[in-house]
Amino acid sequence: MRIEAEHLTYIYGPGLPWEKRALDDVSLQFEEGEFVGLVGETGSGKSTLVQLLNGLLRPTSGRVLLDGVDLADKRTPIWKARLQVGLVFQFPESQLFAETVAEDIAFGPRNLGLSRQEVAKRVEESLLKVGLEPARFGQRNPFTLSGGEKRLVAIAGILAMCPRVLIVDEVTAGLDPRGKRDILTRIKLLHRNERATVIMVSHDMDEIASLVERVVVLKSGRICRQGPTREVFSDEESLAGCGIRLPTIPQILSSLVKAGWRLPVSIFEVREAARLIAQEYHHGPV
Amino acid sequence: MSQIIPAMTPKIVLEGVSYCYPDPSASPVYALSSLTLEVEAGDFLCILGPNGSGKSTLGRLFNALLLPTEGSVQVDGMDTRNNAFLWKIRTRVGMVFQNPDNQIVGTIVEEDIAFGLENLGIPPIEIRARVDWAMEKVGISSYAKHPPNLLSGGQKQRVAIAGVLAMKPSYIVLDEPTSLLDPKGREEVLGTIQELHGEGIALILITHRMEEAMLASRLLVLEKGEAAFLGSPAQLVEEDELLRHAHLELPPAIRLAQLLRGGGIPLPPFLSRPEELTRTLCALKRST
Repeated sequence: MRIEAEHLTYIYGPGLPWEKRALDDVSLQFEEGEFVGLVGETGSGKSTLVQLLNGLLRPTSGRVLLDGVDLADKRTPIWKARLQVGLVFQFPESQLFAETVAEDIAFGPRNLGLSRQEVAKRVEESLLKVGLEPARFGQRNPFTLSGGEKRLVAIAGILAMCPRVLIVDEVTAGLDPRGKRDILTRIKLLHRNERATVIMVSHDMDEIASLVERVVVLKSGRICRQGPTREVFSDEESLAGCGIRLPTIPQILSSLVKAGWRLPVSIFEVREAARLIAQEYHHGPV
Repeated sequence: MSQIIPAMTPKIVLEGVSYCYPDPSASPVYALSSLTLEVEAGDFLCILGPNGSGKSTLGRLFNALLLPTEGSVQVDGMDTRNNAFLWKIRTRVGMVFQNPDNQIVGTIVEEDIAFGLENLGIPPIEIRARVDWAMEKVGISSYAKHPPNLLSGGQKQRVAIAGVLAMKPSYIVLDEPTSLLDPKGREEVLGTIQELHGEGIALILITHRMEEAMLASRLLVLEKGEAAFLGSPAQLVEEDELLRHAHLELPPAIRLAQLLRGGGIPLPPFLSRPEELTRTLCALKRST
């Protein structure tokens, strides 16, 4: 699914003393099947933007088009848009409520009025998609699961609605390294196997660099930079101007370049970086 | 008699400590089993381990928020099971939790920091001096009159740290103090933590982030409630097998340094920070 945002502006508390312009005339597109990283300092408007994209918030001005259909068009019910754009909030596990994992995931599809068989099928499929064995996890109480497992169940609940776009907001925050790796692997597979459009909001530039194809950087409610990942993470100064730091490996490469080494900056793979540094160390000019 | 503090030994000593959460239905679940450990004055110990390995349980045993089911915890010679020492122990061992919102009670920053001191009945002049000192130490003096809810995550966490610091503790336990913060907030809090260590306060840092762990002088890796490793960061990075099964991943800068050493660049065995790595590389290249 293609998403177009045209001149989006969103103001919290318009006319009040604490009025805040969270987004200011933002236009951008997300193409079908793309994996995009959305980054920016706290308060830059990331979460506001993703809530506008699935119709949870209505723009103060501007519009959002899903495959050319205006979200604000009264003839298209808003719930239809929400079905197509699945949003996984920060700490989604806090929204788990049912007594069993299967019940929790079934809640959304059942509200769509699907048949019992269809609901059961969706529950099973979405559990498999997040890598949880339905026979082992379906009847467990969600509150007995680990933090990472709970989060996977919450994601499965969104996937059971069969969204065409998946937006994840800080999806690894607070997890241990293993939980983090599991979730990221699952999202990568969803993108690859289901060809889902994925928009990932994160503060972790190493995570972003290792996964996404394109990066959009927000600052104070405006787009500060955007482009292919390698391009955005190639220039330390301009990125610093947007309040963002380079991922660790490019950071090291960038400091070496400043010291006169002839190296590319935009390398994210540790082995590749090691090879290039060793080559320059042994053969490059002093 | 129990009010008398035994001969002063400035360290925390855990001897054969086990902790078992009561479970009425099933057999008891041991969160920690037979752990022996010492934290000396001025130490910087970091506790690592997957979720459910017993890190937070251990953190809460240091200042008698939990009491050991078996074995003993002594803070400067005071047994945490002795109720008479409770307040003394809690003033010596401060706690900072993951979410500062759960720890902040005041309507403005300086009131929040004064809260613990007021409860101890400390004279107002002394309170004023200590609050100012603590705010200065963590770099929040300019928000003294601000309501805490309007501060950023990093600022709030530093308010929480100042509140603990004002009690003049000898030890501070920090339970994942940066896991909910953005990169800027994390940097602020880590800067503050290192500052505290420089002041001679012993730190016990619980974290999942290896970059942070590398700042400590000693690391304890817990697995299923047992100590799987106790040693320096430089020793841990060599333990491939342990790192793998404890699901710990070395920070990219350390992996890069290891690969470069393997590729024939004579780097020292342990470089924890990216800046150190680039500086050493440049110096080595100049000398070739």
